[in-house]
Amino acid sequence: MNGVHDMLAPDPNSAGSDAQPPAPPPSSESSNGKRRKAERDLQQELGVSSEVLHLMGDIPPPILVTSRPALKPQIRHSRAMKWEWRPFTSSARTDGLALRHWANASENDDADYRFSSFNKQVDVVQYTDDEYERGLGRPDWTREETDQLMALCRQFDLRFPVIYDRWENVPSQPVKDIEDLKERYVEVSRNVLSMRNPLPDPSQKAALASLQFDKFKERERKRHLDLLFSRTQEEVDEEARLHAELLQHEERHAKLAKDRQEVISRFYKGLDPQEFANYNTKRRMIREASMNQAPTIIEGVTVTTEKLTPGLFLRSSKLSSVKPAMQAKYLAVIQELGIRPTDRPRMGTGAVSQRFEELKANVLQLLELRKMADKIETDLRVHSHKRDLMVAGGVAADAKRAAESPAVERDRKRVRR
Amino acid sequence: MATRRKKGIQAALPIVYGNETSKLPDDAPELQLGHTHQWTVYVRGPNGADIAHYVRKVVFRLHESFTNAVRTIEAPPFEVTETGWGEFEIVIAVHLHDFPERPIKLTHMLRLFPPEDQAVIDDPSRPDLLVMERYDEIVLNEPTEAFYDQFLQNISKTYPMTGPVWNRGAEVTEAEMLDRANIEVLRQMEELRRRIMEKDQGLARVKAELAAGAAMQGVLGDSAGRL
Repeated sequence: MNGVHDMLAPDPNSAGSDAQPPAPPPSSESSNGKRRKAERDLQQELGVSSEVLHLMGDIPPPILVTSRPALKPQIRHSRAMKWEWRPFTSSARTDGLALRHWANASENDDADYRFSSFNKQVDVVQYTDDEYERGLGRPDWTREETDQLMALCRQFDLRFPVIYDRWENVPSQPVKDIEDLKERYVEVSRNVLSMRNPLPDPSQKAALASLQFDKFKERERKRHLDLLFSRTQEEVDEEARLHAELLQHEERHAKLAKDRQEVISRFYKGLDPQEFANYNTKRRMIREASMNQAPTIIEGVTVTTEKLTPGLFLRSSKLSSVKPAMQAKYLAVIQELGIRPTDRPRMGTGAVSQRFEELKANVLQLLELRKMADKIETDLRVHSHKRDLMVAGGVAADAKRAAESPAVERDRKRVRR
Repeated sequence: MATRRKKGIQAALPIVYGNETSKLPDDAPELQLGHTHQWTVYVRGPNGADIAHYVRKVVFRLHESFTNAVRTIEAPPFEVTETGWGEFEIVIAVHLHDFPERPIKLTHMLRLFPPEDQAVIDDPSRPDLLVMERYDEIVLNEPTEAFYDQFLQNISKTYPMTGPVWNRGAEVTEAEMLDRANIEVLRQMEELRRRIMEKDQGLARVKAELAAGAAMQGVLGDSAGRL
């Protein structure tokens, strides 16, 4: 089986996959054999199946797979080893408990326990009575409480949740919160260190400064976190929406302020004293000029007071368009009125174009009115028909009732109730 | 801006554009190429009015089968004369002296044979030609002072319009026709409004009758005896 590779680029040497070459020339056989050996080597090197290999062809892969790093200790022993149950000592233990473990016979015994170096302790300050007297007193903390706190800190490596859990409130003293405990610890440490080292150098100063704890801020922070955590999804969405709105408001406000500033600056720019001097005279002159002029109408020129955007356009391009649905009806009406049905006037001067547009608007309105009239007429017809039926039915009913006996009518009425 | 603009002034420049065409004479050499007509596409002032004072150049875009299909004409007469056999759309750009960056775009369908649907201009001054011409106006809002002065100086060459086709009489006739049509439409609208109001009242009455009848029937039961 030689796979896809041979299908795509048939090897002149190989015949069909299962076919036996009738009389294979000697050269092809040897080259085949060489090829097969090379394949096998490649296969072993890569550790892939022969199918995969044949898919690849002769092309070596771009990245060779390397062996995985040895994560486990590769222990290869030629012979079995002797192990013995041996006691050992650990410097981490202070109670002198005699423990034993399996150790290799050849290993020597004296070294400290391998894992004792991991027994790290926190350096909780240890103060003397004198130091306490001098500067560590506090009305809401007794000496015993403080000692107990420091002992717990030492024991539990400043893991305050655990410390707080083990804390026992003294009945005569105010109850201590976890924040209170932290605060007291920090206070004690700071005071002791500053007492011992009244003139710290810069690095020590930094370390000392880090011993700050704001109880109230911490409480607030935790409260905020709790609130944040306990929001419902709706509240979260609401907050996001409000936040977006706030940003928009701020943007708008900023833009407004900017515009205001611009207007103000422009205003002040215009307040040139020279301009002021010219202002009134200019105004007066213009007014006089316009009044003195005899109004002349120049053909082709329109004088307006309306606001004109400077520019130019082709008059026919400004004609309003009619919706294609209405186009046919519109043209029909135009034709009725004796006007050639076109979309633009023949001689599109200003006067003509204006009338053309007016006519267009009026015709469209007329079409609307026609539609409305039709609608009302059909409405009227339908309702009239209904009314006629009703009247007829009522007449028939009355007639029927009159024919029937009064007793039946009474019964019918009773049944209704 | 260096040049001031005339505020509140709107100037209208009438132009006519289109094409004239005539059949090629029997001895014309172009017949060998298969051409049948000679035609001229142009932009002019109506009745020969001078537009060179406003128009800087006119660019005619012919069918791509013509060599140098884009013809720029920078002096009057703003026209292109060619021979050919086909009818096609020509795009014309008129560039004025004012607002040079905004040319006016016109499209004209070149006609060699009289079309059935459109009316042909009967111009007695051009008897042997088939003329397809349109009237339009280029309107300028707030032209520059220079431009406006030129316009006023040359205004007598345009107005009043006298000529065989585009003249004041034609304008007045068309305006009057439109006025009459407008009056008629307004009259019909008034009539319709009256009719609608009448019908509306009638409808209200019928609806009231229906409502009353329905209430009555509710009390008595209908003719089938059902409740």
